[in-house]
Amino acid sequence: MQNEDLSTVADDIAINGVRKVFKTDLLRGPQLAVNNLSCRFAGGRCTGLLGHNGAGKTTTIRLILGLLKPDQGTIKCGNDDLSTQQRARIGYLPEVNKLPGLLTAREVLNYQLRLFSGPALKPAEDRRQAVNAALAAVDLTGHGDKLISRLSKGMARRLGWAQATIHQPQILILDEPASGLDPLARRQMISWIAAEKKRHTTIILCTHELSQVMELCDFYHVLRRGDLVASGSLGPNATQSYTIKVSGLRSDALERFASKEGLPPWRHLRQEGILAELSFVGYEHSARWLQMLLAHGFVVTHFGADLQAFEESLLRHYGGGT
Amino acid sequence: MLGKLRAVAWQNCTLLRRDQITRAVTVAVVVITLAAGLASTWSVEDRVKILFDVGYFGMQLLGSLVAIFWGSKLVSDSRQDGAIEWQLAAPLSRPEWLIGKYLGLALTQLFLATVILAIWQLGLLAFGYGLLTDAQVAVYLMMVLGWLVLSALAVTLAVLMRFALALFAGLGLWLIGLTSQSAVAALGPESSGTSQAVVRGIARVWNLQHFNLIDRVLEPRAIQPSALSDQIGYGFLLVAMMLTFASLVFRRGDVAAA
Repeated sequence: MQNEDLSTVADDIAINGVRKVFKTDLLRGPQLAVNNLSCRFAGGRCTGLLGHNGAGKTTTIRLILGLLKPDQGTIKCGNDDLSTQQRARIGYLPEVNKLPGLLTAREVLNYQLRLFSGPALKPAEDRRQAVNAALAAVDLTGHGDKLISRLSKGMARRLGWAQATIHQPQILILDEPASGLDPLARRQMISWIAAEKKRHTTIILCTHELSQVMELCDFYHVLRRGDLVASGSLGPNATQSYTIKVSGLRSDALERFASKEGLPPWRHLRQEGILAELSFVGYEHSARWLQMLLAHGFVVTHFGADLQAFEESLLRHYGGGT
Repeated sequence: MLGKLRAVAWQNCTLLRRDQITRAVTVAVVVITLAAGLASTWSVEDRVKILFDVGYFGMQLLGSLVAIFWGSKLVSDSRQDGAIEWQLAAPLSRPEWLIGKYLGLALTQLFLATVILAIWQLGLLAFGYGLLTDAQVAVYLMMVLGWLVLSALAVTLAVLMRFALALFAGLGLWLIGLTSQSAVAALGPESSGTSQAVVRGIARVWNLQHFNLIDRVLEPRAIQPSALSDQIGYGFLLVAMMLTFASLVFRRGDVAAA
C-alpha cells in the first residue's frame, strides 16, 4: 500500500457512539438495533461488516446513508457530517433488487446520473454515452430498453451494480452483493468489487459469506445484537492463523527440520498421506517456515490464511462465545 | 435543485403512466362517454344537461378516486418495493424527493386529463353535440384542479400513515369536502353555537364544491378567468400548504423499506 497513489482516496467514515432504538413495535416495545457503536471504515480500503441476521448490519448501513436518524452519536466522512450533498460520493447496492419494475434499465441509469453527476454530465448526449458504457460493463448492452420486471435475477443484480457505480463513487456500500447469484455471476461480482478496491474506493461490504470477506476485505467489524464485538485486520498479522501444506515430509522429519533450522513451533500438524498440513498463529512464524521449506527445495502445495480457523473465530463472535 | 426535482418528477410520471390504473381509467372514460351520450340521446328533454351531468359526474368521481389512490400509494409503494432506499441514498433531500414525486403525479394527472378531454370531445362529436365551449372547458379544468388538491391531500396522509389508512382517511376527507357546503346550508336555528362554528369552520377551510362549477356549464355567458381567480388561488394555496406540511413531517424521522 505504501507505494500506491492515494491522492484520490476517500476519507475514512467514522461512526462515533451511535445508538438506534426502534420504537415502532407496540407489542414488543422498543427494539435496540445499534448500541453505542463506534467504528471506522478506512478510506480506500474494503471493510467487511459481519454478524448474524438481526445483528444491526443493515441498520448501520441505513444510518450511514441517512435513511435512519441516530438517537445519539455522529457519523462523519473525514471531518464532515454525511450530509445530503456528501451522498453524491456514495454508491449503494441494496441486498435485494429494489429498482422499480416498470422502468427500463436505461431509464434507471439515466435517473441515477441526473441525480449524482451534477453539471458535469448535464448534456443528454454525455449521459447517453455514460449509460451505454455502464450497460456494456455489466453485459447488458442488448437489454437497456427492457423493463426491469422482465430482467432475470442475475441481470437485475448486474443492473444494480451498474446503478451503484455509474457515477464512480468514492464510497461503495454493498449489502450482500452476491446474494442469489449463480457461481459464475458470483465470481463476476467479486471481480468487480476487486476492481473497485484497486481504484481505492472505500468499500463497506456487508455479507454472510466469509470466503468473500477473506478474499476482498482488509478489515472487518463483527456486530452482535447491535454491539460491536470484534474488529480486526485481514492482511498479514500476528493473530491470524496460517497454514502451509508441504509434500514428502512426515512429522518426525519436520521436527528434525525445525530444530536444525531453529524454526518456531507449529500450532497444529495434520498428516494426510504424504501431505503435511502445518498451522501457525501469526504471519511471521508461517512466513519463516515457508522461506526455509522453499530454500531447502521442499514442495509447498499451499500457503495462506487458515479460512477454517478464521471462520471458527468469527462464528464464536456470532454466537456469543469468547 | 430544479434538475433533481425534474428527474424525480419525470421518473414518477413514467412509472404512473405505465401503471395499469392509467389504462383502466382510459377504458372507464370511454364507457362514461358512451353512457352519457346514450342517456342524453334517449332522454326527451334537457339532453345537454343530462349529457354533462352524467359525463362530468363520472369523470369527477373517477379522477378523484384515482387522485386519492395514487397519492396514498406514493410513499407506501416506494417503501414496499424498497425503491425509497436507493432513491434517498442519492444526494437528494427528502422534501425534494417528496415534491418531485408529487410533481410527477400532477404531471400524470394532467396527461390523463388531456386524454380524458380528448375522449370526451370525440364522444360529443360522435353524438352530434359539436365542439366544447370555453365555459365547458373551464369547468373541466376546475375539476382537474380539484384532483390536484385531492392528490396533495392523499400525499400528505401517505406521509403520516400507512397506505390503507391513508386511503380511507383520504376518501373520508373527500366526502367531507364535498358535503361541507351542504352541511352549512342544512344548519338550522336549533343547531348549537358550537356545532355551527365547527361546521362553518370546516366548510371555510375544506370545501371541494369550490372546484365544482357544473351548474355554470349551461350558462350562455363564458366563464371569465378573473371570476375563477378565487377558486384557482384557493386550490393552489391548499396544495402548497399540504405539501409544505408533508415535507416538514417527511424530513424528520426514519425512512426505510418495509
